[in-house]
Amino acid sequence: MLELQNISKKWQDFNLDNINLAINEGEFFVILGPSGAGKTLLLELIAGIHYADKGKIIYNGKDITLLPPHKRNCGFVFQDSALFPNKKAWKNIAYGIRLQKRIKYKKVMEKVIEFLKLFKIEHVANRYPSTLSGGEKQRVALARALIINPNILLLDEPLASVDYNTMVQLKGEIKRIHKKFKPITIYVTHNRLEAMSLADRIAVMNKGKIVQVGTPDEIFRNPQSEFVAKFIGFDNIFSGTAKFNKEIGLSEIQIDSMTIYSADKLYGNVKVCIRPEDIILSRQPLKSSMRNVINGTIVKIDDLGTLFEVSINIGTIIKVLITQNALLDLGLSVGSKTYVNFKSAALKTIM
Amino acid sequence: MKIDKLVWKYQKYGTFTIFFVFLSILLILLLIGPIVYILFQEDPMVILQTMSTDYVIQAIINSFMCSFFSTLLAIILGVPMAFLLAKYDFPGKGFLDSLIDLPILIPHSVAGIILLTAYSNHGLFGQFFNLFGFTFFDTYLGIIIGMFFVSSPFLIKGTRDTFLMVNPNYEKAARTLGASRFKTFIDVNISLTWRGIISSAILCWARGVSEFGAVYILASIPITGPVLVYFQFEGSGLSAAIPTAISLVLVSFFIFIIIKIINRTPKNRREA
Repeated sequence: MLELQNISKKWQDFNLDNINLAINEGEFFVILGPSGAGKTLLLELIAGIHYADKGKIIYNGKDITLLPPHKRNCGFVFQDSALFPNKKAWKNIAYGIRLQKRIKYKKVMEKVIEFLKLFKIEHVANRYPSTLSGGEKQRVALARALIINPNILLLDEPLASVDYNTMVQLKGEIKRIHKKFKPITIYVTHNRLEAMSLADRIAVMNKGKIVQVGTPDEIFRNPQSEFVAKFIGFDNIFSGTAKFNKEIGLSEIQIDSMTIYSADKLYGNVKVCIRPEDIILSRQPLKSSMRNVINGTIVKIDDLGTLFEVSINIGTIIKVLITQNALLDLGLSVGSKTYVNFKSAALKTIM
Repeated sequence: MKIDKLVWKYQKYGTFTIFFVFLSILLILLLIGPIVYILFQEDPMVILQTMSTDYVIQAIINSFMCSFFSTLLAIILGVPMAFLLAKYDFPGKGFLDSLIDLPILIPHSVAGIILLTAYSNHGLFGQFFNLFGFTFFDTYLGIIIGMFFVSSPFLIKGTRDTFLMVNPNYEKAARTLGASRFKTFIDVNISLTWRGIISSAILCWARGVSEFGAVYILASIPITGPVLVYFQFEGSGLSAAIPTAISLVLVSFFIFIIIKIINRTPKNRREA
């Protein structure tokens, strides 16, 4: 188990503030946050590249706060892969184990070949990094980090600079490799979808602080703050005042002149969060179980490629995602009147 | 046909670029022109003869060897400092940076006076090194120190700049893979920058070879190339100095080209 206790660190423009985390053996732990949150600095503290100003890092009961990086046995994969440009791919992979004392050349070669096969990169073994594609570079980087059989595998946005298809492939690869070797894996990203599909648990980070820790489900269904809600895709966030109405068993939330209903019991000032994909548009008020039906006027339609983002003025601007088919069927364009429908359960409220 | 081509080229590059090219040609004429001109001021046979004279050969060897040792000293003392300047932030770093430039700023005759004051047998440094049997006035050591004083900034600055060009993630990767600080320094910092360091060393060496002022004042004997030319000029006039001057130009240029060729970076090893 890896524990970070009250870790604080100031470095350049970054400022980690009292970080507390406990990561279990074999866990795939994702640190999610916007750029500038201090994610990379936190990772480098764990690797020993920087030392904390305050606090402790404990690994399996041993204090490793001041242990130099070459004694920590952490594998590190960088966004830019950081392969040694003067070494061929296989020598990059071999670097870590060749440093180990009393290891025979034959054993080194066996291991290198094993890892070349594992990552399906035998064909690039004799090439220099500058001639490899982004995906190949990251595979070599992963092999180089894993060949030393690390206790902790640290991945710093490893998929941020590869194309979409390679990203999907590598994501599968990383998952498979994690299952096989089961190191403590800490994966830093700003991409919520990567976090969702890879993580056992997620820590959301903002401005040097951990703002929420939980399983992907907890984070995505139950954000505890406006920041987390916004970051994981609740694009519509409104402030209002709530009152619980016993007769209908719902809370009434007053947002400007508009009233919407939530299934949660709420009082006082609240933030109301709605995902744009949880909203249905219609020309007529829908006769359904949906409690919230509000009319408005379309002010903007953005083509996002696969979906369209429709901005509707309902007293305030609300964003809705719909397919092109739906857009054509409803015959919507800028200036159209439309109804905005969503379930009271689709609301996420933060008191 | 030819006119068409010229017009086409003019349109392709535009007045702006062509004007800059014109200025560059002017610059080359001013700088390189005199060097080419002097080469034709003497019969090639006389130059060859001069080049094979014992005292000219000895002067050239003195210059090259002393500058080689001065460069070696600059590498041993300068590379660690360049590394610190590239990798760490510390109070007074900016000040130290300008301090290193100081020898470049000081007029070379003044540098000679400074060195003579410190390293003569009565000076503080001279007295200290005398304890170990070293003297500097009119010795090879004096030449080396003179060259070192004016040329080491080139090595320090150049080496620092090459250290700065290396992606710091390479170091981090090596450290996490189990390499100690020293091992990382050798495997990453040095092995990715040695070409840059050698380039700076060549510059440092060339600057040492060309130094006259500081060397002349601290140690005019043993005679180095530049000092020999000066003695000939002072003793027998311009025409007497020309053959030796040409010899120095040719030999220096030849060596410089050779080292540059050896030091070229292979294409596939460049940074990704």
